[in-house]
Amino acid sequence: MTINKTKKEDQLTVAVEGRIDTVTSPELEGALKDSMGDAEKLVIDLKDVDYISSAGLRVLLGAHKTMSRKGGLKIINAADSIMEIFEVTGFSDILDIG
Amino acid sequence: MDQRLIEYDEKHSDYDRMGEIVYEKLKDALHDEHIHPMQVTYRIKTRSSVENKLIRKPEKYQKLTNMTDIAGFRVICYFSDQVDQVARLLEENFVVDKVNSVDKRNALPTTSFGYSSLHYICTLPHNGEYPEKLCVLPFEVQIRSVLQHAWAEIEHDLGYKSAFGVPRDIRREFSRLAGLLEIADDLFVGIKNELVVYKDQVRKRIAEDKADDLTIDRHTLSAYIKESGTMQSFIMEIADICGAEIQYIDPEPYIPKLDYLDIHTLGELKELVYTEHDGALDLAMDALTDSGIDTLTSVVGLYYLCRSKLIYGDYSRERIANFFHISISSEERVMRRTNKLLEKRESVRARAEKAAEDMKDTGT
Repeated sequence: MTINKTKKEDQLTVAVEGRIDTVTSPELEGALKDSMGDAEKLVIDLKDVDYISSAGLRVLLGAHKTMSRKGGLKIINAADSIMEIFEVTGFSDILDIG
Repeated sequence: MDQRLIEYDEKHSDYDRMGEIVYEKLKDALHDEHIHPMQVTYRIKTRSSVENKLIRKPEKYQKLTNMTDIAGFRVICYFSDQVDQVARLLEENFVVDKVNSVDKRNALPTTSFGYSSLHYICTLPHNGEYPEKLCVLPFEVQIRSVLQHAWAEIEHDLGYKSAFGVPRDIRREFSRLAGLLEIADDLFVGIKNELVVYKDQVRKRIAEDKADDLTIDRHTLSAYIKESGTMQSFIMEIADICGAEIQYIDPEPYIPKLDYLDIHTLGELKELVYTEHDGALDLAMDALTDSGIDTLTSVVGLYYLCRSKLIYGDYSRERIANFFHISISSEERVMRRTNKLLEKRESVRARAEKAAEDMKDTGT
């Protein structure tokens, strides 16, 4: 998994590439924790993510909870297979998915 | 050069270090006590600001450490009753110099309204945790409510250094406003306390299954999901399909969706669980069996109940699309989800027709 972070004013964009699974989720969680403190808005770009496991969902949920006290979290470019997982778990109704 | 300014230059880095330590310690203590102020800020006075103060009040500041606000912190609380909570926290974590601290809330005569804030003069404790040279540097913490802060900032913005410089009529206007804001502060605390009582009553009524007439709002819906036996057992049935854990989240985004489906009270929601139970569970089984998913959100019950109502109910394409429009701005995504739901409707209808035919065949 590759994680690219870009900061523009108070918005942090985290572009993820690869699989977000049990092995790679802690890395994403760490990367988000390190940067969320300085960001008012968080955008997670899933364009190059082809799989997300429950561990990945928990990381996104944690980020959603942290950012809901600030400017919020937005998920962008989620593939249909990822959207399917968001939908059947109930995540699609609480996450801001663009 | 003034000896006190030489001392300031020598100690500037110590003040910086002390400021960082106090800021972190204060933030951690607030977090641990679940006090969430609107703002915690600090600044170290600039050299020119210290110099100006020394010139203005040469007698008062014979020693640099007599100037207790070189390091100044400010905690702005949402509610006025949090001011005392923060003060208690300071007393527990720092050494408070009560003699030089000022409670300006009590300093006003009972017949007056005006600047009201709590100013504590503190030092780091001599407990071996911090360098001794930092524990002798005083710092000031101003604690006030957001409304007290607004009043003080506006007064300051108008350029008045003290009440004596303010024209009489304007001073009277400021006093009237201070009185108004004091009442507003009390009302906000009242609202906060009423909410605590309300949430407690809601929980009790749900636990006793006497909450059918309660209107759905953020608190009733959240409590219903957590406390109602009906909803809890339904969620657990879904979770058992894939052995998932439930992550509790704020269900507020569902309120307009339930409203759209004409579900406005907890009684109507309970009825929804009864009427849509089988359909919703079928949908959940289709989606979650052998999915490998072991995390679901606490709104998953609402998700499948709403889908079931839309699929099995008599909802037109337009009404289904409008349901999705409540939370999705992208037209393309709304269309995709509408089409998907209608496809699901076709497949469950075909399955039901086939099952009916099979039964007929078996019967004949």
